[in-house]
Amino acid sequence: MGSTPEMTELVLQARSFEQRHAATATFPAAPLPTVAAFAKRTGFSPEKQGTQVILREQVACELGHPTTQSVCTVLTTTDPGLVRSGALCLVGPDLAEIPMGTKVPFGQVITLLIREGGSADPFDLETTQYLIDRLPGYMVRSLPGRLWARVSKEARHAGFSLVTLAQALMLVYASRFSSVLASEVLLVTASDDIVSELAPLAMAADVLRGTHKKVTLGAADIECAEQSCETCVEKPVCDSARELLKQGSNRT
Amino acid sequence: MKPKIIAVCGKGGVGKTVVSALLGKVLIDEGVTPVLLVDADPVAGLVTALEASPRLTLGHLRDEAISTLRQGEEEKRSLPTRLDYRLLEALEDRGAYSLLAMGRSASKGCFCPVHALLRRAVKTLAAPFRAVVIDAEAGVEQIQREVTSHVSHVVVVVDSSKRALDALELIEQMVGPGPSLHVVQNRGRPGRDHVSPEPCACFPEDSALGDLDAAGTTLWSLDPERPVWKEARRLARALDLVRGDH
Repeated sequence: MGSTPEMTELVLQARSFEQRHAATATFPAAPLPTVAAFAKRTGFSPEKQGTQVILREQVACELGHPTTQSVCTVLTTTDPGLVRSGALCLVGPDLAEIPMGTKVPFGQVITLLIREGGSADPFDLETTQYLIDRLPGYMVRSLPGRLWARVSKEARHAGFSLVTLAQALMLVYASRFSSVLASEVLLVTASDDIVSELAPLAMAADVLRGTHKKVTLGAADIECAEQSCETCVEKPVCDSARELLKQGSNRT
Repeated sequence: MKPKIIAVCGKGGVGKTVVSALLGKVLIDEGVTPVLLVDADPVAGLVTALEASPRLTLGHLRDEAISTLRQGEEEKRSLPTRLDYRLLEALEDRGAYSLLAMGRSASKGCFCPVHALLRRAVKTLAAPFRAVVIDAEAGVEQIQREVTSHVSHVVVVVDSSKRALDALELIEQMVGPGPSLHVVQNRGRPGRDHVSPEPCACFPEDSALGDLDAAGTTLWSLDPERPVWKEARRLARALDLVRGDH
């Protein structure tokens, strides 16, 4: 991941989106706290800390539920002129304006200023955007390019807002990646249609990262009568599953 | 606090689904909530008994996982988080209780490591529940394949048949020292059946259950005065999930 003319174009597209929706956009001005101060206030941790599951009865709000639109992506650039450090643009209501128990569509675009020549695992850089198990009261489940989040009633009563979320996103990137020099966040909760407008941008970012590429090893009906792994043509599938099992909780 | 995980096992047709359904309802009524009810039978017993028709099942997720693992590296790496997402989607959350169905898988083959990935994801999802009741597949294969691993209690349902008692003996051997084992007799014949270990509950034959089953009506609509409910509460007490004299 780095900066290319194509990625620069995507960053500008995100900016155009904001301008298109300027009438309903807000730019909450909240100075970015230190990690320690933020962690003390919210329980945030830059690294995964256990697994949280928020069941329906405890949900204050759902962002990007499977029945709504959900788009998320990470853009990167080495051009400091393209990133408004610490900026948050919110298109649509914040949590306090959303009735309890509502499912709202959700768009999230994070733009990162990367140090020229910096190296970071592209997979880690991309998956960190989901903020899985790093913020108590904010549970996330994700598919590539899509996230589904639940905010607990307890967190919302304690003041959790989309500003909190944006700050957590900025702090997690700053903490985990020394090559990330600055970041800005765009969050969209306005409507399915407006969130959908971000889909082409997210898809284009995927193509630039190469994550759209798939190699199919082939699939054939198999018989497992002898239950012998060594002769089974699907052994690569199971070997891959074993690899993932060994990695255990080292997923981001 | 970790949930109590109860696997209800036994030979086919002994009444596992009835016991699972009634136990689940008792736990909900007694406030041991939230409860996760898992229908681990690919032929769908518990979900049908509760008039549920899940759109997404563990069988679907198994197929998706296998398909993903045949793809490129990027896809593979995202599989654990993808499973978490789809599993939450598959969960029918109804407040005091939730339902999860095994369903059928289209992929032939054992794919044991894939099951292990799924088991791990289910274990994560089960964490906030106070109790998990698994209506297991008939027979002993799920115990053999450790699909019911991490359980704290194994409830073996028997009826009057020798085959059911043979299955009990086999399950006792296979379960090992970890979980506690409890026997429930279903459709018992007082004074005529000799079951060892002694059952912790004895559900009498009840034609009303059969009527509900035949009509496709939820078993939870059974008249609360029927004796089977008392036995379901006895079972819940034996599992140390509820207290008191009911």
